[in-house]
Amino acid sequence: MALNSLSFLLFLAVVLLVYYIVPKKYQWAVLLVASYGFYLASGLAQVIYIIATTLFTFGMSHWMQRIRNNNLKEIASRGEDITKEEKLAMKKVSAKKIHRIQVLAVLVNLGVLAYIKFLNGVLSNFDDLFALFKWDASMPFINVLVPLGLSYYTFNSIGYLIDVGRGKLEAERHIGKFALFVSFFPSIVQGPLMRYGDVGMQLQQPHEFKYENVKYGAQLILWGLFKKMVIADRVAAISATVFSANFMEFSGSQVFFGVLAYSFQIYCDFSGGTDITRGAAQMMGLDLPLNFERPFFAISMADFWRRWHMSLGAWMREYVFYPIMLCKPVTALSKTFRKKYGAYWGKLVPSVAAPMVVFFLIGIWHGLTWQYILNGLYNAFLISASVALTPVYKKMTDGLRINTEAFSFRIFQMLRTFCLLCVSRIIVRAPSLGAAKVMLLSVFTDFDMGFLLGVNDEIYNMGLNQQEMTLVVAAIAVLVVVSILQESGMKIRETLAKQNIVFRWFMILLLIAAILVFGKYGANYDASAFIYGNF
Amino acid sequence: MEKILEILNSIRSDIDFANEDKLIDDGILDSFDIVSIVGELCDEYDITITVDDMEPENFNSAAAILALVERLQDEM
Repeated sequence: MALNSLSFLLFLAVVLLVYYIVPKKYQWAVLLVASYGFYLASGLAQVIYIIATTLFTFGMSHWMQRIRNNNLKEIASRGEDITKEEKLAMKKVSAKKIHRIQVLAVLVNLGVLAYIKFLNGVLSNFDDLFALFKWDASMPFINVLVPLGLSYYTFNSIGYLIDVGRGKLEAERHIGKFALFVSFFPSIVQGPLMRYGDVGMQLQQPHEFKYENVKYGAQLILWGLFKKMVIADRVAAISATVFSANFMEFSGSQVFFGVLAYSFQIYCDFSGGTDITRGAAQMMGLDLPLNFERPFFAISMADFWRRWHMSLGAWMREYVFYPIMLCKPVTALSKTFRKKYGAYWGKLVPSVAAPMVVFFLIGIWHGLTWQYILNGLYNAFLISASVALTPVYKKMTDGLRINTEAFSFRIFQMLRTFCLLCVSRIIVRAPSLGAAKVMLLSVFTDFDMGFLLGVNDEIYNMGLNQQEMTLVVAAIAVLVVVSILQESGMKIRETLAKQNIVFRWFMILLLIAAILVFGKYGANYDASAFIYGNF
Repeated sequence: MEKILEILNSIRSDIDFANEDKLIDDGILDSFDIVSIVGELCDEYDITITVDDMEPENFNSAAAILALVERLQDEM
């Protein structure tokens, strides 16, 4: 059941109706039944995995909690008859035990994820490797069904286990309420990733029916559908044409046009899906984490990663980045460098190590292919380089007397970031790594501005005819205007709510009409094809 | 407090640490800055700041950072 299908909207309407009719203390149960119903619609066999993850994670979290509780009881039983040192020593012993269980639980969860997701990737990578030496290894293809939302619910479970292990959370006592957190249906398809201390708690609380929540939630769903169906699914034709097996036929300017289209496609596809998810949750009175904050306005790669797939960024920061940056070998190395060579080098050492690991993981999270791994390392390199070169930039801008606060400089930074991102997009979207290299080079060696300006009408042979192109450009213009207004601090839905009723409904009906009339439907339309649903 | 402000200013001289109280919530400090601050604090006060202490409320202002340092010194 795709998030942008009519069946999902009908399913959501029925769930909402029951959700607000039943006594509030059973609202969580309605969502649990709905979530498993939603999940079952994707196949019976897949449910086994999510149930196994839920039971295992729940059990392990209780084991950790029991050790912590016993430790606290033991300390309390000693009353005043215990020194500070003894108390610390007892806490350390218990923390060590908890840590061991936590590592085991995380590794098992990751192991299942890696086995299901990467097995065939690894085998085919071995095939490629052996092919280099002209060996035909013909590794077997093992057909493992990838359960719906596997990466998302596994990462949510791992986050929960670490939070319980660190003592930031008490293990949930109710298996049903925990099962709801793991399987919550609007976010199971493509996130956002959630923290138990935030969304897990919200899911348990009673929620009064509030017209405002339903109205704003529905508006967010409409906006998500507009982005997904009017922009993403239409521009997809351009990127599919350019990044095909026939990539050699296209000039550098056509490749640039393709990557431009793909940039809008992937943003509107992913953020549109997230809007639908967040909108559905808002209709239930739930506030899910933000996943996007207008990434095209990013002024650096680090800024981009603060605005793009924010919930994954936050997850990585909390559970990978900080632990690496603060682990003993890295801090010791950083300290040595700081003492020997000064603050700059002290900062640089962890700034290189941590992004490498984080972006390598983000790369393989998307898929175990050389393209994703290279793209991860490319992003890590850019972020580390920007930290390393900060003093050089400062000297350059000071020397050239460039006003870095000026609007024009900000535009330059945004364009620079966008171009760096285009390279990243070509790496992952090209049919192969070799094709990515050829396509990237062609942008610099075979660029014809006339094509982009529409001379000879060649631009209309790239998957969209003139009429469709006009429609897409107009839709993107709407997106850009809305984004600029949001970037300047305007809250669109709140502002709309303050307008008079005629204007308000005119805008809503216009949006609905745009989705119905201009949305991509038809025989070739696959409502399930959300790009990030595959990750 | 003065020592804390000195450390903070040595890492980011462009921030008014004496008056800012949403250093993390408003995205004024990035994660690299925080790790640099942590390194300096550990050196200066001989404390260990672990990943469990990496909460926004511990780094939102100079006063919060001072409170964290005092708590960790007390726990030593």
